[in-house]
Amino acid sequence: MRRLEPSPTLVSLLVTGVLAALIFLGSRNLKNFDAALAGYAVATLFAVLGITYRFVQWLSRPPTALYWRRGWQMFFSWRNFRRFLGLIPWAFLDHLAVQNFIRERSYYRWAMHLTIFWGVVLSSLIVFPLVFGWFNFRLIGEDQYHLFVFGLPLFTFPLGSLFAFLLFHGLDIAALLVVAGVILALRRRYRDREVMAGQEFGFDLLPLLLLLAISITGLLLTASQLFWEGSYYWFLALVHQVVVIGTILYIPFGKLFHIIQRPASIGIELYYAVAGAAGHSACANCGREFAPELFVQDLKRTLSDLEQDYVMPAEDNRWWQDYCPECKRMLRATAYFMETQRGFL
Amino acid sequence: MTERTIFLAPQRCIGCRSCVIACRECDSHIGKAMLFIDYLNRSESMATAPALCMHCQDPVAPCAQVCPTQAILVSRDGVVQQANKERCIACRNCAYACPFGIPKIDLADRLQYKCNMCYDRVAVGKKPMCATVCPSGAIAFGTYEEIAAQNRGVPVNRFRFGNQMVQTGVYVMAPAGVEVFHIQQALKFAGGAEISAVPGIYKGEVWR
Repeated sequence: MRRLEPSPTLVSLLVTGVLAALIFLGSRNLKNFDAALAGYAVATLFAVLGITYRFVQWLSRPPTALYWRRGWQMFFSWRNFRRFLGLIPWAFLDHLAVQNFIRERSYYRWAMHLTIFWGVVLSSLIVFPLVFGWFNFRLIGEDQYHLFVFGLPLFTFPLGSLFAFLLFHGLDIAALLVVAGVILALRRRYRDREVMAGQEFGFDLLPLLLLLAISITGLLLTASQLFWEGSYYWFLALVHQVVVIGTILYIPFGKLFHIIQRPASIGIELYYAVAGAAGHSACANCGREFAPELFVQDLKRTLSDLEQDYVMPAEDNRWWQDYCPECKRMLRATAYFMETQRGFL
Repeated sequence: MTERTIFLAPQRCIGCRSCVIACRECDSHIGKAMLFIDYLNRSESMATAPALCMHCQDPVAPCAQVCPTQAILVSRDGVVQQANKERCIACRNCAYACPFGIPKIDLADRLQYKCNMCYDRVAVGKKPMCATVCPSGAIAFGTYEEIAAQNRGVPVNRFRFGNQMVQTGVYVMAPAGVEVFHIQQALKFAGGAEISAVPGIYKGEVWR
């Protein structure tokens, strides 16, 4: 199979260009664009450039490239679509929305991650359309707000309604969720010996501190507006902007890149369902079926791409990977005992 | 590689599983044992052998190379770490690529686990848990010179799997004259021997 190797520079420039065009279109030639948020918009474009670059580079690694191709091949197959209709929506719910795999690790971490996750998702859904000028509100009469999305009128709602309250305080709610989650996470990072054994400041603690700083400065902006008659508003807005921009520009480099990588687990779910239904490989030694046949073939291809050659010419050109992990251990130990049977060491 | 590393002498293994119990106590993977005690040919022999991550140096960590999400990192001193918790997507590449059959996959957690040479302990000058408790010297930890001086055997860290030579950070004690362990020789000997090794996939059953 020959591969097309897209250039990370080209793809990232293209994606950033598309987003810039959408900002232009969605804000009706910048008519609805909020100049006060221009810094955020520019930083987002740079972040998208960086994230796409890293994403394309990541996809070019042999194992990632293979799963990426296979995943889409399986996704766009009509036969698979009929057989595994519910699989993708279910995996989406299970892996991304509810994150049951984290619950399996611990309820504490589940609560911690879900609050941070939903806080960030909620705030992103509000913030980015606002920054790009895609959401626009117009006052109609005395107490009615009209919401425009992409310049198209969507619906009207009364100013004093619960919906208006939730919409205008959506970011505060998101910030509270994130603060709760980050406190749980920081507590764990200073208590749990398992995480303390391996954590690093730049990778594990910095993203938490950044999220905390964003949420706190964001909440203080609301406080300044509601309770302090706007004192410190300008200063707080500046600090908030600096922290937010720093964080989104950090996404391609650190821990937060898992946001981009993680959905791949849905592809893995589909891969195993499709490959598993097609038949399994039997271990060349014990005969036990141990992994989908397609998986073993793909693994061999990945190893070949990485210039590793486990072919065993004396065993009908079988691969060492045709043996199940248990037999690999047993056979290696047997090789050891054959070499050492001459005497005790 | 760290100056001190693990030296295995399976001949000395008495199958007591102290290492398995101690492994669970390590702070970097509390409650989970990362090494295996395998029976070899149980109907004919009571031989057991410890198996843990060999921390491959050349090619460097095949498990990390086949990982699609770059979840397995190798520290500067050559210790191959267990999968990064937020990156691992449980694709099982590492478990089946590993020439030594070491990584475990927990399908419910969607996470790989493997021996990281008790990194938290080794980094501060302690021995890994297994080497600390092994009563018979089947698992030892020290410098090459230390261990070579204490043993009649020679530490060997080269294994040949078909065409592929693998050099590891962990050594195995061999009689003088042995420079490489050849797996293919063992295949002829083993031919369909009874397997009683511990499966590497758990919680989610070993799938068929």
